[in-house]
Amino acid sequence: MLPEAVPAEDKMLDIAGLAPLLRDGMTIGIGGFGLDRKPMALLAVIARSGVRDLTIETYAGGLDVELLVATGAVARVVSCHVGLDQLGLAPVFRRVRQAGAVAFEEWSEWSQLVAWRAAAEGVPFATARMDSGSDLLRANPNIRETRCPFTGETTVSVAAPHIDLAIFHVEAIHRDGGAIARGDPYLDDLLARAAGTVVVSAERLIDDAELEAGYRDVHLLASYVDHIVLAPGGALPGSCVPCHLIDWPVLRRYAEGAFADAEAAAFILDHITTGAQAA
Amino acid sequence: MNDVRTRADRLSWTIATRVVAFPRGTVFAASNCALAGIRLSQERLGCRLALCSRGGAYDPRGPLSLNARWWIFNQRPRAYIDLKDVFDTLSEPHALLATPAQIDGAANANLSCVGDHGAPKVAFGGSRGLPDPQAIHFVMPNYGKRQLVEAVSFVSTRAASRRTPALLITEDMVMRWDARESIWRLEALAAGVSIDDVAARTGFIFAVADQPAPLPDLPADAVETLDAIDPFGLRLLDFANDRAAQFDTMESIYALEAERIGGTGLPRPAIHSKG
Repeated sequence: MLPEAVPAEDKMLDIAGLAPLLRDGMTIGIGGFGLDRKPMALLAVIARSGVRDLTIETYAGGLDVELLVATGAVARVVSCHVGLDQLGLAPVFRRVRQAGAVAFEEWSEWSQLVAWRAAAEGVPFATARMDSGSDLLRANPNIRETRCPFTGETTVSVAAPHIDLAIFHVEAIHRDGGAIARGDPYLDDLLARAAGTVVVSAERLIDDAELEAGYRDVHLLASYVDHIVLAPGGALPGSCVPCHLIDWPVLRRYAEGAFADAEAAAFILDHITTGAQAA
Repeated sequence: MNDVRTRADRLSWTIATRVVAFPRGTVFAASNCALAGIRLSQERLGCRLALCSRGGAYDPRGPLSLNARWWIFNQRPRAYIDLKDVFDTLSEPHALLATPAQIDGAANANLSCVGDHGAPKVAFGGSRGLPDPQAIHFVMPNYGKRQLVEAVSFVSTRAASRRTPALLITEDMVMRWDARESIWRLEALAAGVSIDDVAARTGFIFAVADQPAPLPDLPADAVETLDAIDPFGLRLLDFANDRAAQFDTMESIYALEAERIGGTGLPRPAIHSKG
């Protein structure tokens, strides 16, 4: 029988403890995809913090981008798509983009994945297979046509992003930081490895036995995770599959609401469940 | 509704009859009719494409799911791959059946914006995976001159760059990109639809094959297969023009899907909802 392990560092953080990690002008990566497993409770802290000029790096944005853009916290959105899945376009993002009020660094899905992988691996760039006829090569300075140093063949290279802080929401997490997503892990592990600091909110904490029983579903290794926030329902009104689906009535009201920016932010914030509320 | 159903079924069948000729590999469908069409082709025509789809299922064989979480709702996925793995399949022979916001007469597709990219007149969501696959084909359920335009102002992808000639599939016609002449060529028409009818709904100039083929009729037993593949009628959503009606239909589909997996049992919507 092994002796009891020496306790690991305490990674538990009160949700308000996210605020001191924020600063103006930083780049924040957001995990999840579309409307699924977006860390809405953590995003509410950011939205209320008064931080400004953020760059938001997200793979497929949804209510996460809507909230931060609506509160005026964002200067630049980096993404391959921002929308509300089946509910259509994201109204606030669409409005600020059309007004030129927020810069949109647009990627294709695969090229953004390759860029994140480069960042995760600590290399400055990587090559991606991509249609060289796409205007993304003109619109996005971090996607360029380059020459293969070995064959001279024309290829597309993508720059690795610098990400200061990455935030995630997961189904379950161990106090050491091992996080479980029985649903799609999306690109969470790449983003976590790429980021300087990683904060993960979770539906619930699990003990050693549950972690070891579900070890194949661990998608964020403990070593990637700096801080843990307990936030049951912390992805609402989006989904956290398979724990729960989207809050359809709320999202429908949002999609049909035609809200001004401040109203949109207030509406989303009003339907975010923080850990404290749910406890 | 019957008219919508007829249109959706006809488009799905047209897709089925086309994808069966695609080279063996993987395919990703970005619309409900495309999903239904590929599945129909697998079931009825022996299509050997492997379908990877939203929600990480690979080769789903059960009913289509609006929630796009096939491993929960579909009951019959044949493998599971996560999002990153979907992109690994792009290194293989891979086709995307895309539904961009606009397509132009030079086979360019746009899912980004109309006007200047920095402050567009109309912003869409973003280019998504349009620039990424080896072969790209377009499925345009509700098409008109706002979708089929003379020239897009932003090229999300250029289908003309692909070795495989792109197809443009609609409910009443099929065009194929003619790389030699650099023009879309109308190669098939639905019964009762004229070339002038198509031209009236198309914002770019296209060529016409010597003898446009008739689009194949939908066999009655294929309708039964479609109903088995898509019992909730997701394919009808592709033809909904009224947003409120579309949301109503989605709401009823969500309810049916929840019932299928056990009513109020997990997973369920809004377990913590305050709304």
